[in-house]
Amino acid sequence: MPTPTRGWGWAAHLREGGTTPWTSWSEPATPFTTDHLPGAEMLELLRRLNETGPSDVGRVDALLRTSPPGRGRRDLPLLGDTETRTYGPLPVDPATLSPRELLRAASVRLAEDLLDTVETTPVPRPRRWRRRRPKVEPDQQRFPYRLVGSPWLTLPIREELERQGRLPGGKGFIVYVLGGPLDEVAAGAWKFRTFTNRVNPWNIWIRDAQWRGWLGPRADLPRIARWWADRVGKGRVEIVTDPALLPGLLGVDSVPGPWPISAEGNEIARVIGQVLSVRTDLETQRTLLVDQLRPRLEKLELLVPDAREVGVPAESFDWVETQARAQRDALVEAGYALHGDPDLLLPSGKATQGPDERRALALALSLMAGRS
Amino acid sequence: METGRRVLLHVGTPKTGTSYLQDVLFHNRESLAEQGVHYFADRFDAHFLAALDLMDLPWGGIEEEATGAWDALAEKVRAVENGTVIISHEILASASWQQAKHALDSLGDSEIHIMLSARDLARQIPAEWQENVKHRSVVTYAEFLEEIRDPAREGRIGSWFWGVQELPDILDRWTQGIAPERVHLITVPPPGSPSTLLWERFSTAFGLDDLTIDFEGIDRGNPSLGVPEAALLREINLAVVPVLEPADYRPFVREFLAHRTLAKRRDSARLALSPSILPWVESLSESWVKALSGRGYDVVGGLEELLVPADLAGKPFVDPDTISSREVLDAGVATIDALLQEAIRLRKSEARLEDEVAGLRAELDHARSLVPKQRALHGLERRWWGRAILKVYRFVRR
Repeated sequence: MPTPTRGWGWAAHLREGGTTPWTSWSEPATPFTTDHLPGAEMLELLRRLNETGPSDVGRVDALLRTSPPGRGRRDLPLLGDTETRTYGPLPVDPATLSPRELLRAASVRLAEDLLDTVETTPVPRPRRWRRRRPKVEPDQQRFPYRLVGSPWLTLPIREELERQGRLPGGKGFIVYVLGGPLDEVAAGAWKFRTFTNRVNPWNIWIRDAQWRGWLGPRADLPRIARWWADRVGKGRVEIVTDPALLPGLLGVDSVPGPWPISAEGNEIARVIGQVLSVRTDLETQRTLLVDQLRPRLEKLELLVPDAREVGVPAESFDWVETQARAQRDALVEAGYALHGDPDLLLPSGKATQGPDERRALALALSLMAGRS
Repeated sequence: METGRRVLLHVGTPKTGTSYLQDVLFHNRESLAEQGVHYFADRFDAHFLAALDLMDLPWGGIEEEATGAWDALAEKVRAVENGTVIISHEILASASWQQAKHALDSLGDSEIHIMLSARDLARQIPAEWQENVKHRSVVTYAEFLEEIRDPAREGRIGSWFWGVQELPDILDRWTQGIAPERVHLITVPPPGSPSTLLWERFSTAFGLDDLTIDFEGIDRGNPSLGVPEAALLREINLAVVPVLEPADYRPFVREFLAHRTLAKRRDSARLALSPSILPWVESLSESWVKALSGRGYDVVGGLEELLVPADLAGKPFVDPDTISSREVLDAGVATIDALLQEAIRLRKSEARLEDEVAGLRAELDHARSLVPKQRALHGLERRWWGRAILKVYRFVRR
């Protein structure tokens, strides 16, 4: 017969929906499973989840059977429990765990929730007939286009145009390179990767970019413009620095802005992506994050206040400004047609921080609670 | 109820000759299977991928190939009715309680044995720093030692190091419900022991003694670097890590520079434990041996081999953080020499390939030029008047 411990008592309390902090808990209990007592991270995560409302027992048990993924300390013992080992990680008071550690602990369940949707999503029936070529709209003939630049900015616009039947290309299309303040474009490059690939946290990403001396292909407008100029000729490549001018150039009334996802939403997508990168292929990972997670996050963003925008931190700002001046000068010297003031490519400094870890955890808990 | 299937689950630790063991098993997997010992691997790193999958562990992009690898491996294991199955990868040492439980459960009704190879901390600590440097790290030796001494283990280095090196904790996590006599601790012999002794211990523990094994062409595994070579590699990392993708770093820096070039230099000073932390490591090792003794494990070798060797304190220590530039320069010149040799080899190979391509192009052009002629010939041969024309043509040509 296993000895009752305070740790198992707290775990049983949390399993039943309790919210008492560890330091206020005193009742011992015998283990309710043959598994090892879950780590302090999972137990504290469950306590915080319980504070948002009741959860299904099956989901709670699944949560207690997981460990924080990847690298980093985990399965931490509870401070003051009947731990007799003289080795292993030091016991902790779960209340002192950082939101980052709890978010990492949450990432496995969040990833598994998304993976569950793969099995329930009906597989589309194969088409019996080849899809008809979309009808060419008159506007497509009048405003043939290709829209390139940071995909965080351009993808929603391209999707909306395609939804309206305005496919890219067409006879004599113009390539519009959509630019913007380089700090925002750089943030957009990172944000896009959080939904589409594996990527480091924002602070490390921007530090590494500075170390490397390059913000990467998605934030290098002269490179993008040059690539297209080599293929279609410089005369058909135009730089747009003022997004307000874009509707007129494309022949539409308005264009959508980027996905309304906060820095914290991006951080959640990033940590879930780390798990999905092992659990599934890249294509499925992107589909799950963009098509399943993103709409849920967009709904939740309004419910959790104090959203942050991703911004370049002060220690990297001068370097980004130097990069921006170089990009502006390269585009002007190359002689591309410009729509908007080229100085709009210089950093705006509107945001200077990365995600707020506390808010990211709050968003993650709302996701786990199924509030979206 | 257990079946006639015995699973030897080798869960670590790194830097204990595991690569050599895995190489032997991989190269002999077909003949071993005929002898009733299965090592299910269609590629040399198959069990590494399974470990990444089990532990949700991203690893420089390789994890994309790991999806479902553990479950696939476990399914193969469960399909064996009688015989021995070996699973081996050293990073399994870092599995959490829940992940280890999942792994053990996934092996079904097997007779599971946990195998752990271990080496004293006095050699493991410097070896792990080198391993970090061989994996793109730019951390200095002093920073590394500071990280692993952080009791909270909050950093990446400290948490990983203890995850894969803290022997009593690893064994606690992996022996859930496993009887002590089915836990086999294989200690790495002390320096100066016969070079074959470690293999003999592996062979005994894994029951390979009476089997036919071919050692021809087996790589000796993961070679260590000297102090100047490790210091040079760290400097190289500072320059190349920002610009080299992991997929390029692995073959060019780790394989070519570190393993095939720098590790070949055997005359330079070997990295040792920093004297400043010797008392702490001695005390820690003693506490581990105390925790492990009396557990009833099958120890192949001896627990005393996990203590810091008594003569270590008197040995010279060369610090990679303060080593003279002259010594690093020597290693640098040797590296440039190797790179030049490689460039010459590649250039010759390129010239040979260009010749081959030119030859193939000429053959292709010739073959293409024959196509219309062949078609015309076949067309004519099918008709009576064509055959008559051909007869006249051949008569005239004669």
